[in-house]
Amino acid sequence: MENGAANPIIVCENVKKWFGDFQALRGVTTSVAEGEVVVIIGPSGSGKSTFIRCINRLEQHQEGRIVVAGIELTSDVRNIERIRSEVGMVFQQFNLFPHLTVMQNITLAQVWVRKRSRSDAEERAMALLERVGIPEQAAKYPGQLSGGQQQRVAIARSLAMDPKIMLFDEPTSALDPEMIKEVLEVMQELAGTGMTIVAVTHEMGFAREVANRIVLFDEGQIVEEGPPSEFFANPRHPRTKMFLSQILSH
Amino acid sequence: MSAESFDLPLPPEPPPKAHRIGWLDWARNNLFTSVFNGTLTVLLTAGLLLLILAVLRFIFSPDRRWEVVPPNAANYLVEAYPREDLVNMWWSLWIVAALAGFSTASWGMGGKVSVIKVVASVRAIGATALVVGVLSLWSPAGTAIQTVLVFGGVALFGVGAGAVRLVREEREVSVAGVLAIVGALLVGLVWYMPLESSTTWPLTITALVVAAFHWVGKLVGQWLSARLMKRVITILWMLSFPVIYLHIQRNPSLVWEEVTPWVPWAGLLIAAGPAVIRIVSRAGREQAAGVNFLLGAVAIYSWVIQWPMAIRVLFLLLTLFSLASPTFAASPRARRAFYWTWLAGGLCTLYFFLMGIGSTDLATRGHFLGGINLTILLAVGGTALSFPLGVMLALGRTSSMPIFRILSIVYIEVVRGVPLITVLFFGDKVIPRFLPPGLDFAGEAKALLAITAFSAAYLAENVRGGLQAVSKGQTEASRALGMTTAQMTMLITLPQALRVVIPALVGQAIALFKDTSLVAIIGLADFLRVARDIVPNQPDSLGSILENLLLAALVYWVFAFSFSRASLRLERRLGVGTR
Repeated sequence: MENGAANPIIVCENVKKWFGDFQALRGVTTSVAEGEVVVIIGPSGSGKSTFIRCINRLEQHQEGRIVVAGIELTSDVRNIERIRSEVGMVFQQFNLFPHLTVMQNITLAQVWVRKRSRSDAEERAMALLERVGIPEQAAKYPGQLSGGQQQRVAIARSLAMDPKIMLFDEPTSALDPEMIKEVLEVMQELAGTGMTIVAVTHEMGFAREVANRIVLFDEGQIVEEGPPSEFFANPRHPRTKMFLSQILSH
Repeated sequence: MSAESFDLPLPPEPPPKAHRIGWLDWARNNLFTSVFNGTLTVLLTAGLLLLILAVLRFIFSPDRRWEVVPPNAANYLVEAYPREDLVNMWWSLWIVAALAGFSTASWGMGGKVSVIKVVASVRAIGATALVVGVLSLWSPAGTAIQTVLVFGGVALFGVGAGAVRLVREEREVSVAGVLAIVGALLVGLVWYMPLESSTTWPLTITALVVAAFHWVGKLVGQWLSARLMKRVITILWMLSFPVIYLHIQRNPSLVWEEVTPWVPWAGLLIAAGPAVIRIVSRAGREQAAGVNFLLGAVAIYSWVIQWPMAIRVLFLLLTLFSLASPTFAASPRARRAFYWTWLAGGLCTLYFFLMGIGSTDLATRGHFLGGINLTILLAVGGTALSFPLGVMLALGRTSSMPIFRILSIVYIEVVRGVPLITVLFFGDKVIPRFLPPGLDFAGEAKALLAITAFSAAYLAENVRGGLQAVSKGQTEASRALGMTTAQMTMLITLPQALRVVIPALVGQAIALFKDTSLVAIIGLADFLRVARDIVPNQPDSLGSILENLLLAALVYWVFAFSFSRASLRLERRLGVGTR
């Protein structure tokens, strides 16, 4: 298992999580190195979204340990907001703030959480909008943008906080096919800059090209993980073979 | 990287065909589509006509004594307010007028409107006047007003209809100009009506003040950014409340001997405010909590010992500001704004106590205000005060902290389960029992408290609906960005929730406005009671109850209708980006 354990920025040990009687995570153990790009795949309901939502504590795990950037996530973490501002998250439904302009969406948390001056925040926001390719949309409201543009704004909004880690929770699943590419390109560019990325996605092309490691989830557990070349060419576990045959057959 | 659009060679689009239909076609398409619909149209039109005729016959009947209304203007406006102090009333009106004029300059009144629209409304007004005038001829009396309606209607309709054909469609005039003309006409009307010069002159001054301050607002707007201008206007409106209240309730006057013992301390407290805010907003959680605890303890203790009231209130205010400063004064920029807010609030409090202490207190007369002024005070004050309270209750009810949740639920459910009259009685009779013996609030203040308490519970439920309409994704996104719960509430959920519930809030404000008429039951003379009880019992207008009730209904309707139009405007303006 190639697992740049030299400098792990996320460490998970035997993470368990229940929703009522249903056990969503049945003991997940893995770690992510700094600068690594990890793609999580798996059938729906396998707990992959729950897992990455545990990493910035949008969900709370009930057993096991999660350590992010050297800080263990427990219920008495006092500065949970501090950790969250180190971990950017991009959602399937974008979750932009509809009552604010694109510019305000990106500057709001910079000003209130990072305590930057408004002019600094706006400068940073403009630079990021250029990076994701839509500087001309700054004054518009999210409702006036296409899905792909909205998701790119959401990525810019997360990046504006200068996170050490970026989490993507099915970022392209709510998009029209022709807009998926523009979002994936932004993610690929981001991976090229050395950002640590954990992404849940069904985009196998992206996984194959950009990921350092693929993780397959099923029934709240990691079934198999490995670098994409190995993972796609010689899957070891029968569950992996079945999953790959299902998604690659057409 | 972005998806560039390709320029496909599209064929040029033909211009849209003008689709005009005559009114006969329109009637056939809409009113007489079938025998049944046609019959319905005829019957309902006849019924409507009969109803209008009956109303007009009532209004223009020789038995109606409309001439009793103008001499009773003072009763309608202020009721029992001492006539020799009426200048205070006018001052408060002028303050509002000045602020309104000042605000219009930046509230989009500087825009343009097409001339067609203006002349079309002239035509519509003329047509309405003409129809009303002609229909009123069926009633027995031929009054001067009917003549005015008929001839004025013909003239306006003629001018309007002619102008609609002559004016080119793209011609525009400024909204301010149109409003100025309408204002001038209203002033002319005031002078035409049989009012005393002690009423006509102040009303004229009011119109002039609006115009003058519109101009001032334009001037100031030229060298202030729109953003700053908005803030200045908001602060001025907020400051106007206490100042107006002081003017209405008392003869503001400064008695230097009364205030010298505490003024230096008050000044010191106001000056120290920014330092406290700075320390608390920059300190860690424990230190901030320590300072807040200390301030709170002193603030509470000051009510136990005999400190001057101004110092007590200022200390309480400082404690509140200090508690709020970690949230509102986090960034250096926000902190500067917070300093200014503190200085404004502190100086306003100081002004209130400086001018209020030595003045003649009208409140000691049991009640001091009546008529439309009381109605407006209760409606505006009740809405303004119940808004923050209601929002806090809504937040409490949706809070994850059980103490706040339970308190909010108990409050909301108890108040919502009780009629407003009960709450009014409670305020009137029970509040004095909680106060030291001999001390009592004015009836107006107690009614205001009761109305606020009542309205807040309903408002809380409306706002809660809005809060629940905000999607979970919004809170998750704000949490993922590292916002605290307070930041999330103030910046993300609350603004979205309030936007959703504007129609409900306006409906509630209108209901509150009409419900103020219930204060008559605790002995206050609101507008409706003046119309029902007081004016019909004046020697010169004895028994004129029908006229007065109709007038009251008209006035209530005009207010409520303007509210709802204004809210439509607000909805449209805030609706940007929601869809």
